[in-house]
Amino acid sequence: MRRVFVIVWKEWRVALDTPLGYVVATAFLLASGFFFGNHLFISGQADMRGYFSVMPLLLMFFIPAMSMRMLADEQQGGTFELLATMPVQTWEIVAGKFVAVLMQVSILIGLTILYPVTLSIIGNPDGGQIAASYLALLLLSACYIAISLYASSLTRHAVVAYVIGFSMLFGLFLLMQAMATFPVGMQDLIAAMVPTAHYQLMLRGVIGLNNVGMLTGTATIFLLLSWFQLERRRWQ
Amino acid sequence: MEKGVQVDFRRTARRRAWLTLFAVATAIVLLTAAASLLHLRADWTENSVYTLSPSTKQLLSRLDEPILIRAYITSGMPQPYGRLKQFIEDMLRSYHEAGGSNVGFEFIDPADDPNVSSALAAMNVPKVQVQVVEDD
Repeated sequence: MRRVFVIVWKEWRVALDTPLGYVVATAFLLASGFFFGNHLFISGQADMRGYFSVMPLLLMFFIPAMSMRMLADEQQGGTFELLATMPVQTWEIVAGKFVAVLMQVSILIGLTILYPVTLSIIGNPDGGQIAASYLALLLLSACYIAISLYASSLTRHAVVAYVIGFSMLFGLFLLMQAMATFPVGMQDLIAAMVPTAHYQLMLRGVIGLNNVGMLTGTATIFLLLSWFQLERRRWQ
Repeated sequence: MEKGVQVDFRRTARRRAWLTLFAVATAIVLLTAAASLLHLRADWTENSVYTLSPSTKQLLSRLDEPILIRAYITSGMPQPYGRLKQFIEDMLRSYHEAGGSNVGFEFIDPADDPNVSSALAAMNVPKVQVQVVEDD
């Protein structure tokens, strides 16, 4: 466990010491502030439903950018070999990188706590619903991060990793958008498989064990696949 | 001798990795399936608005044949009616969760299709006028 935190700490230092993290944070908060304000003034209602509905779209652009270099750069720079000779196991590398990105995203999401605080000053929002939405957003981010990390493990080039990660998330988004055109029986199947569908259900303020299970399950599957992709290098 | 040891190591590592992949993936799929079969849910909203009463749930789970709920709502309504549409949709989702594939729902915008309005008039479903008063 301690070795996981060594990697988390290293990535944390990289995020603090390079301008990239700050640029991403500024862009994210600008975009998210725009969506929040826009929805608030158009609907005139003290809720964050509209804001949380567009968040998957926003994360689709940002999360692959934040995780693209995590595993790809290690392979490109040859530092993965160095890391592999250290007394650290492959799953600890993957877990460390995952926790590092999850922490960065959580901080970005944590900064948006100002929005519900603003709402409770000007109105009377449903606190339970907003809390459930934040939990849903964190779980969805974990899912997106795992998918982007898998994309990053597939290639040596960070930009290629971005394109692969974005395409996978965009594919899920398109599937979700096109859901109404499928036959009814298939709609339920798609709704059960796509992470965003579970996220949308949680936005009501209802936390279903199936929703939480599906989101964490998808994240774990993609982390497992990333681990396998790196482990394969040992016999190839 | 050296080479043989190396090939052996690779084969072991490979077999172990594939085994772990399948074992963990199966465990995750089983756990997720178990989690969705449990039907556990916590309603965090004020007054638990999306929790159906036990008698409603019982009725929905024992339906003889599938029902389809059609909601006729004009889009682009002023607030708070836009929010009302969201609430109805969320509520119908709760009904769908309780009734499974036996309870379906769809949203129809009467403004999209003139035939719908005349069909509604024939079924004695009146139009509801909405008036909004605002300060300047």
